[in-house]
Amino acid sequence: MALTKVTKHIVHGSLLVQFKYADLSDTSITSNTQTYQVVGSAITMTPQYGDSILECTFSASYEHDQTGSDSQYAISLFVNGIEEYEHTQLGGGPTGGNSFTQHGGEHDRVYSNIFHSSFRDTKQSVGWVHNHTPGNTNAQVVDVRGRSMDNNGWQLYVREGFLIVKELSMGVNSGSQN
Amino acid sequence: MPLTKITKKSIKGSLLLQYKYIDLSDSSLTSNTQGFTRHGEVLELTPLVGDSILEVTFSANIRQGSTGDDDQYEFALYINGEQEYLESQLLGGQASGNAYSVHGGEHDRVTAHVQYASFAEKIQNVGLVHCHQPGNTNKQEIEIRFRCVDSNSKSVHMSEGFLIAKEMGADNAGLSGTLN
Repeated sequence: MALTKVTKHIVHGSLLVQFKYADLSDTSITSNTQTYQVVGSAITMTPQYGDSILECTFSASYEHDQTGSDSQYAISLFVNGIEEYEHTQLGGGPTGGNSFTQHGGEHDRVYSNIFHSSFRDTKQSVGWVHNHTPGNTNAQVVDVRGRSMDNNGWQLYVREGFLIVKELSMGVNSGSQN
Repeated sequence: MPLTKITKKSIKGSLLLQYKYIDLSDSSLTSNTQGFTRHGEVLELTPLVGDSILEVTFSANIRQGSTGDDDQYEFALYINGEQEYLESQLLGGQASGNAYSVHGGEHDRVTAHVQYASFAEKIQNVGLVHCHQPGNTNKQEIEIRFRCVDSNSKSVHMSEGFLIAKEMGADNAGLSGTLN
C-alpha cells in the first residue's frame, strides 16, 4: 500500500456540552399585572464547566385582544430570578392617554377625525438571542416572563413559546463582547 | 530555554457537524390563499449521525398592504412535509368582520364610534427558534410555509427570509437534546 502523506491541521474551537429546550405552554397574564409572570415552564441547566457560555434563544407570539388604550407589554429573560434581557413597549409603547375622551384630535395610535377609538386584536411574533456566563457550576434556572407595563393594562397572551438553552464550553476561545 | 509545564484540561462535548442556510426568495400569496404555501426554497440537510439534534432558526418580515378586515396570517416550520411549529394570527388575529359596513359600533381592530375604518400597510418582523431530532440519517427537507387564515383575506408578502439549520452531534459525552 502506498504511503499517504498526513497533513497536520489543527482546529481550535469549543464544544457543545448541553442542549436543553422547552416547548412552553400558552400563558395568559391577567390585566393590570405589572409584575413579571413566568411564561410556561423554566429550563434548569447545571453547567458542567465553570467558564461555559449559556446561549439562550426564544421565540413566541404575544397578543392582546381587549379594547383599551394601555397596551404596552414587556417580555424578558430571567436566569435564577435575575432579569438578564428585556424587550419593552411591545404593542406600541406609551399611548397618548386620550382614548374615549373627546371627538377628533389625537387618539391612541389613531390620528385625525376618529371618534372615541382604541385598538384591539393585536398580535406579534417576538423572540431573542442572548448569552449568559454564569461563572460557576451551580444550577441555572432559565425562564421567560411577561408583564403589562401600565397599571391599567389589558390581558396579555403569550403563545407558541419555544426556549432553547445551550452550554458551550469556552475551551480555547473565550466568549467576549465584540 | 526553560521548560513550560503543560496543563492538560479535558472537555467533553459534541461537535457542530453541519451548518446550512438559505437566503429565501421573497414570496407573495394572492388573496384567499388558505393552503400553506412555501416561502422561498427548501433547505435540505442529511444528518451524518442518527441521534443528532437539528437546530432551526428563521427570521423574515410579513406584510399586508391592502385595506380590508380579514388580515390574519400564519407561518410554520415544516420538515419533510410535517408541521413542526406554528405561529398564528399574525397581524392581528381574527377581526370582527365589520369593516366598511356601518357607522359606529365595532370595527376591525378599532372599537367604538369609529366611522368607516380599517388598516393597511402593516408589516411585522417574524421569526422562530426550534429544534428537531429526526432519529435517523434520512434527508430532512426543511421549509417555511405561510397562509391566509380567512377565506376572504387580502394578499400577503413575506420578505427578507433567512433560514439556518445546524446539525449538532449528540452522541459524545452523553449529550442529548432534552425537553426540560
